[in-house]
Amino acid sequence: MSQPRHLLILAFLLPVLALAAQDAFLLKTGFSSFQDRKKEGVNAFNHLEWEHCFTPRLQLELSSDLSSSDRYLAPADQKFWHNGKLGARYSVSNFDLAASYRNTIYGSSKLLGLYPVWNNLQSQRKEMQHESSLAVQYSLPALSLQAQGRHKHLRFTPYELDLNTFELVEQDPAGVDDVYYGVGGRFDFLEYFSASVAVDHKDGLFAKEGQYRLTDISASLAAQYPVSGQSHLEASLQITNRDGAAISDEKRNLLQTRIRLQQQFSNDLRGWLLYVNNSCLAADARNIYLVSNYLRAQLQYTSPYDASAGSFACLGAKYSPENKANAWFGEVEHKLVRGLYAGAGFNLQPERLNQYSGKLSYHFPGVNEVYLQYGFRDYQTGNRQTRYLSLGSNLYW
Amino acid sequence: MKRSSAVLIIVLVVVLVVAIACKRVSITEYHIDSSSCNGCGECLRVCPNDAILYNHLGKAEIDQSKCTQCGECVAVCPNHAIY
Repeated sequence: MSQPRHLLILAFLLPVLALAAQDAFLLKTGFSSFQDRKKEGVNAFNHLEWEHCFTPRLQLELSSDLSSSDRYLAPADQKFWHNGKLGARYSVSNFDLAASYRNTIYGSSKLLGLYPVWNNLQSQRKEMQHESSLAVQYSLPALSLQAQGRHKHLRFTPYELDLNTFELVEQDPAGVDDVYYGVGGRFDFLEYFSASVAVDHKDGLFAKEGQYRLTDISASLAAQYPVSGQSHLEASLQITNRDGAAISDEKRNLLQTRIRLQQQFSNDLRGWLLYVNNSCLAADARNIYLVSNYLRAQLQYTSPYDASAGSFACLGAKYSPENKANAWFGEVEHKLVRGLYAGAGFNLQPERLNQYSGKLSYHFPGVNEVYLQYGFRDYQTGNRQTRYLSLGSNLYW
Repeated sequence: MKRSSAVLIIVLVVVLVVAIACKRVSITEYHIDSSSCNGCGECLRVCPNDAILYNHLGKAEIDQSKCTQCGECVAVCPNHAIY
């Protein structure tokens, strides 16, 4: 890895470490050894997060997420990955301003196909991505207006196919830019209702023909209703007109309906139910097509017999058959003696992967922990299984 | 006010029933449940088309103009927020 990359990582890590003693600070670190049919390897990860309030009006946030991996995650997995974020938020009476910069570094990245429309280049190796974001919001008692803009620049090394040798030949580094910006407003009325409108535009500046240009104009109606002291109901209906080459006529107008019910069953048990339906009204406004359904239920129980709230159980299910995204998942952690906890988890995605894990952890003051975890992944595609053993810690200041 | 909420819920249910009964689109389209997304970035790592980015709230968002519906992000999301 080149020296500038090391410097960038250090630029994100050092301020976090230097200022850690002063404020809220989170450090998650660990490594795991894995084994599957084809190979063995090691993964390591390190996540740092720091937040500081200079004044009640100004807040600064720094985070650094570093991971190095031999594991197979997906065809596009990068073996070295660092994402750093520097963000600031300024609030004064009814005005909010948020700005952030993110930097992502890819190391030992695989050759990936380049976007469908990109000259005669065949593939790319990702190097680095810069993302900057600016958002402002002005709020009155019943009306809020907001505007946001983002810019993304991806640096990569392109490869072109040499037709004489049929080999990929490395080219000079290049970059692609995408810009996203939009404005919106929300009006609250009749205590529980709100109506919103927004216009968002996106352009891929690298494609002159506008293949990656997209304009969304949306309007929505939402209600938030406290059914009782223990349950809360939210519902919304949104229609978005999407104009862009990537959006087919049948998907021109997206109708998104969302209902969420949250219930506190007792002091220790709570749950929520969410249903989202995505449908499309075709450009000719004659046909409605179904895109996807998403039904999700989740329950969470915290044991009243553990004063540190470290003993818990959660169980959830997700049903989204159209996109083969069904899942069953659960996790339980129980205090054995003093700070020693045992836990287990499962994540079943019948069309994608099944995962099981067992965990032994030691908690010390607060919610800090060191843990040893064993897991098994069974991928439903490619007849592949992976076992891993992890050692890690989660520390909070 | 309770009556207004009831009316709204009935309208939504009717829309849902109509939407469920209609024809399927020919192309898959993935979305992110922003209330379940914790911004961990796992989906960004595995996206081969650079189609996922963070919005100004720190949540992942799919750029539908670049997404090729490969579905790699669905399996890796630790919060099952992609559908």
